[in-house]
Amino acid sequence: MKLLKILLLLLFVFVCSSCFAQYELLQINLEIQTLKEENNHIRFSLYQEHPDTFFLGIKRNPALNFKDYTTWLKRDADTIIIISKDNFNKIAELSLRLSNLSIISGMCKTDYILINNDNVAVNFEISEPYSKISYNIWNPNYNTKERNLDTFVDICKKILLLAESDYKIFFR
Amino acid sequence: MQVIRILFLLLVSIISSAQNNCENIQYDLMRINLSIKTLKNTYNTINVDLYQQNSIYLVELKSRPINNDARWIKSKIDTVYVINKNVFNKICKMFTDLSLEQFLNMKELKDLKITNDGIACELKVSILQNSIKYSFGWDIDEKRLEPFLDICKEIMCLTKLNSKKNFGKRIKCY
Repeated sequence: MKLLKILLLLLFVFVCSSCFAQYELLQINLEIQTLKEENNHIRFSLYQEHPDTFFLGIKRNPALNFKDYTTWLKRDADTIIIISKDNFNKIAELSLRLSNLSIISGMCKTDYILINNDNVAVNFEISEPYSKISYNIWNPNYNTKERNLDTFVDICKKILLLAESDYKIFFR
Repeated sequence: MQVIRILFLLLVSIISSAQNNCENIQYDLMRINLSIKTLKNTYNTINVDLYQQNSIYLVELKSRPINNDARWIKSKIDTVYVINKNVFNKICKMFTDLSLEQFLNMKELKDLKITNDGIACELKVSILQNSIKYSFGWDIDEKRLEPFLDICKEIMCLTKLNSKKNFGKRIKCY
């Protein structure tokens, strides 16, 4: 009975700590590069600017045509969306759940890596002042489960949904 | 009693799934890179690569002074050392054991210690086209960075550079 009480207390402390966790200093960036003309390079940044105001910045760059430099001028205007603190915290919590061990062991499964002509390179960054972690993953949408990238792809999809982008363009 | 049994079963399943993950890791595919940038004139930029080639484990050291002035030229290094497989595997294992939550301090900005000693480190593991990179600096004396500095220390010890003199006591190995 005493053990049960301790376990319940531990569970309570764990729930409380996750409820009141503060992620305001975090900035989360997702960069996706494809070979597509339209969505060649797209970057999403989640950050806090003012107390209790969280933003999602979207920057889309088209593929550069070196014969016609004006393609660069045809890119969309940068967009900034205000997001809720809950949504920001949900993505931050999921990001902190990424496991080095599991992702590295997935990277080593060479049988499941696919290189083709429709490559998607994803760069996911979690940064705070003076520290940064970057994950650079090639084609995370292929053999996701086998490569232990479920959480990683889930985070990417959630960010794309928040940005009102169609994730199926990048992650089938 | 039944609750304890369920909890015990859960614990066993978590441990066994973690072990399954460990079994798949082939350290031979890993390439570890340590990059250190300082504000010093000698050893201004240091790059150390650890990798396996034809079953030989190598440490590649490249160091560059701030400019080509004759005074700093002794710190211009481009060399390769052969290391033991066990040492290579030990460093790879240290890297896989790093925890993301430990790395991020989530402090208030006012609590961050910012100094002018200017050391910026990057620890990167690459496996084929994929990679994970940890970048940190400035508040290098923080306790939370200990596991990361331990890896830097292990790598710096392989390069035979006097790292205490050049990078401070936290990365010393002599």
